[in-house]
Amino acid sequence: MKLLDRTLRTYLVYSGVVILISTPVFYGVIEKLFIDDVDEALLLRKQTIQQQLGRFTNEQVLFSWRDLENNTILRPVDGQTPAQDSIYNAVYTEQVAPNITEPEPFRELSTRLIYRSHPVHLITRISLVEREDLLQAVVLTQAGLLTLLLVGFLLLNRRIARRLWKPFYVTLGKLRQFEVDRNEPLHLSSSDIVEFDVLNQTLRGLTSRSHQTYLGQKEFTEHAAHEMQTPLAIFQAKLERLSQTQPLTNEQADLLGSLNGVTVRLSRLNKSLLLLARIENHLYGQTESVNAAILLDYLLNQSAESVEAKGIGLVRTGMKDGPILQTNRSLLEILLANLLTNAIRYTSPGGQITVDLQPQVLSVANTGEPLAIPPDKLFARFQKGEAQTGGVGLGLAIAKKVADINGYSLSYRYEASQHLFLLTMG
Amino acid sequence: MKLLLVEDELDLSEDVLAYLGQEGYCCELASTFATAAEKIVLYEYDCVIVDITLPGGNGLDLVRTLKKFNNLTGIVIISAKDALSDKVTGLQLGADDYLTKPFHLAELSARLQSVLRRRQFNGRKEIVVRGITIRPDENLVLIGNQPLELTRKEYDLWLFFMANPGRVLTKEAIAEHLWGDNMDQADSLDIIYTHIKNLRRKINERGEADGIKTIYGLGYKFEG
Repeated sequence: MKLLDRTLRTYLVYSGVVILISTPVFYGVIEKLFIDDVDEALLLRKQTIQQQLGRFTNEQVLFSWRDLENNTILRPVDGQTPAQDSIYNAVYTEQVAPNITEPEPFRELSTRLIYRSHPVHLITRISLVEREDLLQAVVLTQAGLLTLLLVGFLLLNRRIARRLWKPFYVTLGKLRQFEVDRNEPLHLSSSDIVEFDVLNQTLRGLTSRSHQTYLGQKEFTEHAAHEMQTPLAIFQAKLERLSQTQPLTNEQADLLGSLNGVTVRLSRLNKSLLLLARIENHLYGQTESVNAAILLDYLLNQSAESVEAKGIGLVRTGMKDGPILQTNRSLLEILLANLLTNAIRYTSPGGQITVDLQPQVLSVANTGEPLAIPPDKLFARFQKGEAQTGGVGLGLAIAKKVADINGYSLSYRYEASQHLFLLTMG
Repeated sequence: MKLLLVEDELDLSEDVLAYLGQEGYCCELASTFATAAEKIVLYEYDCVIVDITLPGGNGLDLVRTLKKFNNLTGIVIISAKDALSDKVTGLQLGADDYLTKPFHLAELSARLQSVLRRRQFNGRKEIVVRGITIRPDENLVLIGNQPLELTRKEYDLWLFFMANPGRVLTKEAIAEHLWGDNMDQADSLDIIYTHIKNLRRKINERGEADGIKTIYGLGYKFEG
């Protein structure tokens, strides 16, 4: 749940509760006020009638006048006449239209008046139909107002919160995109809210520190590999001169031969490390148009000898021309060569390699036993399959790195007894 | 042939001088940028082998100076920097070749010969050894005026041997010369063996001795 929604939900629940409770309470209060008002009007009416009773000549006229004010009755005192003012609710049927009668609520005052020293019974009532309408209107208005208030409050709150939290979301977005191996530092704009500024400052410090650490490590790798080149060169040169010395016994030649092999291995390892560091340092910026099919076939031609020597079948399908990629040629060559070398290295004699090129996807498949290492570790550095294959364990890591900086994706899966590498370009 | 080696690593320059000296080159050494800059202005060399990172300056500047003063001098850059940009810049400036450290001395020798051939003779030079003639500009090998049909790799191999007569060529140096870094060591040994076997057979069939000797455990040697 988002931060904004969480606060809004709390407000919403509270407002709902307030509306639910306040509406009946409000209704009750208004009704009470209204009834009090009606009661007062009834008592006032009683006084008015009392004052005007003198105008009637005799009781006969008084009682025949049934309807002083439509709803007022004067009659002789009987058993039902209360001793004091009595106000109560009553329901009478009213003719609302021809042939239609409806029960309607009334407030009724039943009391005694004095007419020429005789008590008479007065019943007068006021319709409460208006009360219903009024209450309805009042309550509706109130509910409407409350709802309006609530909705407005919600919208306003949401807008304000959005504006308030905007720097936070901006920071979050940037942080999510932050990659420690990117060259650009994290740019966090300052806001007018102290907490966010502190957050941004802390994040800036944190990311720049990790970036520096990363750069330091990367530089170290590059420098270390670089610094090793010269001693390696000297070592190799001395070894070569030693090989030229005479006489050379078979034992010495054998030892020198092994040393040569190890030196080449060391030198390749070092070159690969250097290359990896340089790719990570984005030192291969220049791009050009490269025809993938032509480059691929050139590389396949180069490795034809190894394929033949190992007794592997090679099948090349798909496009023979194109696609044209905008990329660094040397890096793409390294990527493709590494995939092919890897396939050749891990195919047993008698196996088969299938290379298929489609406009978007290059697939390199080779027959073989399932991986001995977890597939997700395949592209990690120094992860090698069976021992003694001659690789230094950086080929696929380099291939992956090149794919990454080109925005390509390089994936692996094992399918139908084949190792399948898929390079999705563009 | 007069060469100048510009290299600040004394250990390495000693090896290069010794190896090239045995090949019959007259090789001088400049171990700083300043001495190198002086020497290339004062004397004429057939080829200059120049390291890029030097105390006191950048080897690429020496290449620029060389191109200004003497366009005939061949230039081979050797560098510990495997940076593509340096390679491209170097070659654009007019260097003839670029070798990344560590390199095999035999490889340097072969590249040097190729540069000298191109520079000094416009490629029109025949190499004749033991009745076998090579015309590098035509990629042609002749025995008794009859062309010898060789595959590309066999031809490269033969030329490599020719560039390093009397030297032990390690299997590793041969593999790197023929395929660069892209071939697995284990694979390359068999293939080299096959190529050499075929090369010897082809030469022997024409009645010539190939002069290639197998050095047990180490590599091959061509007795020039």
